[in-house]
Amino acid sequence: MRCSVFFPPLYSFSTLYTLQLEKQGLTVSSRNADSLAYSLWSLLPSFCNYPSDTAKSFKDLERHLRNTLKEEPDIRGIICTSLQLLIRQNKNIKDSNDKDDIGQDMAKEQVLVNYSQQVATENLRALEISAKNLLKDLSDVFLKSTKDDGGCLQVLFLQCTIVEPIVHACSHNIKLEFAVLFMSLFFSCCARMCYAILKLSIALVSAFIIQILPCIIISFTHGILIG
Amino acid sequence: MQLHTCLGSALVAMGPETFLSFIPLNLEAEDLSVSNIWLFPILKQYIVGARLKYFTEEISPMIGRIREKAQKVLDIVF
Repeated sequence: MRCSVFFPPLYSFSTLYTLQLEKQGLTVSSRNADSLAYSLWSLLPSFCNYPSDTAKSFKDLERHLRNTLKEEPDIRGIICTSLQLLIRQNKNIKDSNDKDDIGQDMAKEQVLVNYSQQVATENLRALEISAKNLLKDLSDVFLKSTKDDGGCLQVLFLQCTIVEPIVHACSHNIKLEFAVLFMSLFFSCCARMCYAILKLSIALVSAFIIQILPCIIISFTHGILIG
Repeated sequence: MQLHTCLGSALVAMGPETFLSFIPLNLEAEDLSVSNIWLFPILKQYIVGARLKYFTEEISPMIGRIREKAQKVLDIVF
């Protein structure tokens, strides 16, 4: 009689304990899954290493990337790195006239045979079309981020690094649209009085105005001529 | 180390698609020791000239499934 009184609590105590352990095990496995997903994402920069179908498939990838940019803060850095890599490699090929400097690496050489200047130009055009949307999302992420200064600085740094090659690669029409976007970024920084970000953004905007000034002047003179 | 280089050159020669069809990552197995996580560093280092389409069509659904599974586990716990 005594036993039956005594044992049930003990028993339930031990099941509670195992449940606790099980819970821990499950959380560990879910954490494992998270790290697996992160490692899969970290393959993206490698896939962006001279891919063979940028012009054709970037549109699909862009959709994925934009969703991820909005939803998963951890992956933003990886995405920005991959985009930078894509832009830089294509631009280098487009600009280089002689192919002497590239191709010490056997594997690279093999790939670069298929990467003519024309292919690179087409790739850049595909990137250019997506650039506007991607930049808009990046800015949204930055504008919506609340007080955490570290995070928002990080995104802005990423923007700075990513913007420069895009701006260089883009045609004049798209540059004008970017200018508007940067002005809004600039004002939001003023409103927040974040000195560090403000400085960065001033630098960005001024660099940008210098970039687009010629094309503003050209469009003005065009207007006058037509008028 | 030599295995790393060897598999790396195989990866370069075949491309990641054929390579992963021979040695799949197996990430969705119940036991993680069955899955070939050791492939990640090799893949990261040696992929060149792959198709972006492969990433959008194979890898990102895989990420989605893993995330889903993790979420389901968490739902059971809490």
